[in-house]
Amino acid sequence: MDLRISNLTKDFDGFKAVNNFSYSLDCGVYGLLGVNGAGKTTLMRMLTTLMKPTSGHITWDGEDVFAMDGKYRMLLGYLPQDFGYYPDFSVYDYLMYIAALKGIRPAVARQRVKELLKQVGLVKARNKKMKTLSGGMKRRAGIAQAMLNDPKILILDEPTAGLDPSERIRFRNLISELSEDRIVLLSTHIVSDIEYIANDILLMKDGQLVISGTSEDIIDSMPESVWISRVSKSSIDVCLKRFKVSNVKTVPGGAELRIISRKQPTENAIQVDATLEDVFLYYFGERAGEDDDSV
Amino acid sequence: MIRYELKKIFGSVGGKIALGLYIATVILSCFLAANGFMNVDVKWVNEQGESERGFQAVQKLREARNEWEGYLDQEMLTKAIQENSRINATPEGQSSNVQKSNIAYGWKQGFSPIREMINRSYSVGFRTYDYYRADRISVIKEETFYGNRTRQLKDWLYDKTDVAYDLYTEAEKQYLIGQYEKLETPFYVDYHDGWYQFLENAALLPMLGILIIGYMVAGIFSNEFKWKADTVYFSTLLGRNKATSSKIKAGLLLVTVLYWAAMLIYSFVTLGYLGFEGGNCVVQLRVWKSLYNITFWQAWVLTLICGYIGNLFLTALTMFISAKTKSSVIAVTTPFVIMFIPSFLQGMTDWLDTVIAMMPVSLLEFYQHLGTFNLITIFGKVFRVMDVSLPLYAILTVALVPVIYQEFRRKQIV
Repeated sequence: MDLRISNLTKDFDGFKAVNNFSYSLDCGVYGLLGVNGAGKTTLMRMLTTLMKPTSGHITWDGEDVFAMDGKYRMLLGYLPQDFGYYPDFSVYDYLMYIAALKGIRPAVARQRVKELLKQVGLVKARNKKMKTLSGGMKRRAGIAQAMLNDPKILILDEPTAGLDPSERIRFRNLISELSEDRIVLLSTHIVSDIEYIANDILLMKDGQLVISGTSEDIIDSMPESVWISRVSKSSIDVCLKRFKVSNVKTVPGGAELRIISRKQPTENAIQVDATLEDVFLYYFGERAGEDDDSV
Repeated sequence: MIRYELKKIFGSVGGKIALGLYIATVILSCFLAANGFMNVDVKWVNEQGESERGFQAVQKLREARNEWEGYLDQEMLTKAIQENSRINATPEGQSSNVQKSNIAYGWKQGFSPIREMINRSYSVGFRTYDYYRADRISVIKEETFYGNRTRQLKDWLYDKTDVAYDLYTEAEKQYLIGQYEKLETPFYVDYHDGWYQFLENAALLPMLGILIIGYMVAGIFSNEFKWKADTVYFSTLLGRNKATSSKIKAGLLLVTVLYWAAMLIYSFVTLGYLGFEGGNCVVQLRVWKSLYNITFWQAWVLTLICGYIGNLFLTALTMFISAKTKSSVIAVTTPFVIMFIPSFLQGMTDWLDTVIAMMPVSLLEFYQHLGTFNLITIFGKVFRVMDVSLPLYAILTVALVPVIYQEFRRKQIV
């Protein structure tokens, strides 16, 4: 089980959405972390053969995935960022249709759909039209369709986008449950989505792989320290300008700032353990995640 | 998978409304045609000079026409002229009072198609028509009656002052004359108003139908993008092959079932109500100048086949536009543009008329083309436009299928 990405580049009229990206994935959950516009969706679209790369290769066990064609897509489960569906299909019909698209025989598909509806908690909604489902239910239907063929490669593009906190936790747990014996690549710009479930995290910026490794590896890779500093109201703006501040917590008389800095930023600053969010801020800056994701 | 494609179409409110509209169009067409409210006014003018409609009127008209059933030979032509003169000589025939004139007209209903042919045969020129010409004829000859048709054609074609002189090549003129001379005479006359009514109105249903069918199939490919379902669709095992061909099959199945169901229902309701008799009569009984030496039932078969090929081609073209542009709006306008553009351009120039006659919409109005002289010369051989456009659009439809398939399956999601 080896999904290898070698020197992958996607050029849109001179703009490199993915730039010389190389990585190798085997069994496990991989979190692809990057700000909106980092190139995560483009990378995933190439991994799902929806888009051909400008240069570079994607291979599955040594074989080019585009040459493998249907043989590769048979291994795929994909939940896109903008998960589209057939609005007038019931959940059951939708899943049966996707099962047919995945080449699953009707008798097997019926059984599989039944199991997945139970797993994603949509048994009661099976006859509801897709367009009437809530955002969370649609996402669950989305993960069910991705899992229909018991894929070896499960690609989830921003699967928690638009979900409320409880749905987000539920979804995270569901992905954890489904991650056994397969490659799960999950893209997000929300650190907490992958912090607890990803074995490896890939940080992507401007189409390139910045750093990868376990959560601990990535945290350790940060050359700066994290400090908690209590400052007065009048000093907040000065600190925000001088330092990378990953969190501002208002307290009586001022604020408690979480500062990323090589040196002790203020006299009263106390060094604390860094988190993945701090690393995210360190690599992507304070404006991370403000742009719309178009690539 | 075809079932799911059809479900995508008919699952939506728009699809259901379109289907309802299609069924309503069929029902309305049947009702209007059967009751004589369409192009052909099937009615019976009674002894009081009043018009009657409905099944009883059809029965009376049929009985009257049946008295004139047989070969339109010397004997029948003479009989028709004599009867026409006799009626004209009656006080009702002489009267300028509308009611009385109607009574006289009512007496002529049995042989009115024969009287109409005499008017056409004995009109002065090929392109003239005199409604009262039969009233001025006292003696008629079978040879002249049929011979006038070809003679008038020749006079028209070789009249240097007429546009026809330069309009057709010598080969085309000979072809036209040859077609006229090939027509077997004498004609067999029978009650044929059922066929006449059907054929006169046969274009309406497929024309309205294709607009509705066009709406149904316009989203067959583009809706995948509109609904953003394309990413999942193309990432599946069969999305780029079997599922794509299922879409094409669903579109073609849809048009096939809807077209044939509508046209067969329409045929059998119209003919069942107005009568199946007269199918073996030549179309020249109604389209005197027609180049097509065929009977009414043959015209019915050709009308259905041409309409089907036309519908099939326009459906395939709409699907292609849908796959190419990813836009249902552009796709749905395709049949509209193809249907209505010709009507704006018609009559501007003769060559343009021939081009328009080659448009797929002409296949939907086959009967209307029976009376036209649109010819095409290919490698020195002369053809009627319909002889070319029918196989041409059948081939184009078949050729479009792999083009649609390749167009959609190669789509990349950007």
